[in-house]
Amino acid sequence: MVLDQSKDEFNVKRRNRNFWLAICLAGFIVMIFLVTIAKLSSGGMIEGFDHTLRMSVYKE
Amino acid sequence: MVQSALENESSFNEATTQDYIALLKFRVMRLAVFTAGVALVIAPASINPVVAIGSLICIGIGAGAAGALNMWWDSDIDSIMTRTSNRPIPAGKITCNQALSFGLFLTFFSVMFLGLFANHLSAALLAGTIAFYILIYTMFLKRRTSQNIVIGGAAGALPPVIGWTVSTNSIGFESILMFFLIFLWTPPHFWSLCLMTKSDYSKSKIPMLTETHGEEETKRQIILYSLLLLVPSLLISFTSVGGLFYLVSTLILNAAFLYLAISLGGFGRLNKPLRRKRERQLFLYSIFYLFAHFSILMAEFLAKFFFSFYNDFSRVLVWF
Repeated sequence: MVLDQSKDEFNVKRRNRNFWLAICLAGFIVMIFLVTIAKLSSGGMIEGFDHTLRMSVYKE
Repeated sequence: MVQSALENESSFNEATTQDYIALLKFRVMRLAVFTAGVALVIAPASINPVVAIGSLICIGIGAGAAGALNMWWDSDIDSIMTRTSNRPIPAGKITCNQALSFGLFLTFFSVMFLGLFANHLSAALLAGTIAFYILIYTMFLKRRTSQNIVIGGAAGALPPVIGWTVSTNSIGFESILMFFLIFLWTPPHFWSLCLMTKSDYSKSKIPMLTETHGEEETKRQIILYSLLLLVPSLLISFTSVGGLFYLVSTLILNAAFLYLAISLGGFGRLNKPLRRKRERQLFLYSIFYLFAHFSILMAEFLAKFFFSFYNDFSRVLVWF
């Protein structure tokens, strides 16, 4: 009886914690996505190696 | 036998979400995010709102990480003090190792993502703030000197500097003044708390000023720091983020702070209930004082912003 009660309590606590962890992870994914979009939209500092010739790296 | 073991609370002592949130010291985190947020907005540079919110979340997580690591190191004294005895570690809800790994994970997470979202200077400052709070204040100063919170207060004063660097990628003079405002505010704020919970600190043997130098000296020091607070707050009035509204407000706020500090120590001997009342008043007012200062800075910024917007708009109307 006590064993079942403790197990239930344990499961409820763990389920609740896992639920909030999932919410945090989802929030994190959304945040990364939005910041990526915001950075790509402004563009200024993004200039990765893209296997193409870029005029900015050549001196006139 | 199995049944009796399970009846023991520790057998199935699984930490809840609330216990992990409690590790983050939500009140300190709120103050850090608020001051950093105000500095970020009033700084003379434009920043994408999404990047700003992401950066503020990172600063908040960094502040929470520092709180978790502080609770890990101080779990022995937390269990002695009445005020902190129901924190997750002394209450047996979270183990020391869980708090340590949680704090370290959040530290790396917040610093790394602040560097990616904002700039490397902000990330370095956040890492430095957490390191200073844990290594210098928590591990070294707190149990050794009565000046622990005076020097350690630097960690709590850095969030506006981080907020400013997120926006401008440089440490401005205004952000340094905001740093000094919080730095000089911390001692009277904490000493008024110490006066309220004096027995707690004597039990835990932390060398707070109230223990090492007595209540009278602490009250004198509170008056001294409430006078010193006038310097950064007045200087802020004459920078780009200040103004006349801030100047008048800060004079009123500082006068009230000084009055409460003097009334705590001066005006003759106070009986015990009145003394407790004054200590509580000063503590609560000190919280209001800082929130009011940064709220006024924000209000000053918004007033300037809308005034310039109105000017531009009226010019366009005239043109039509």
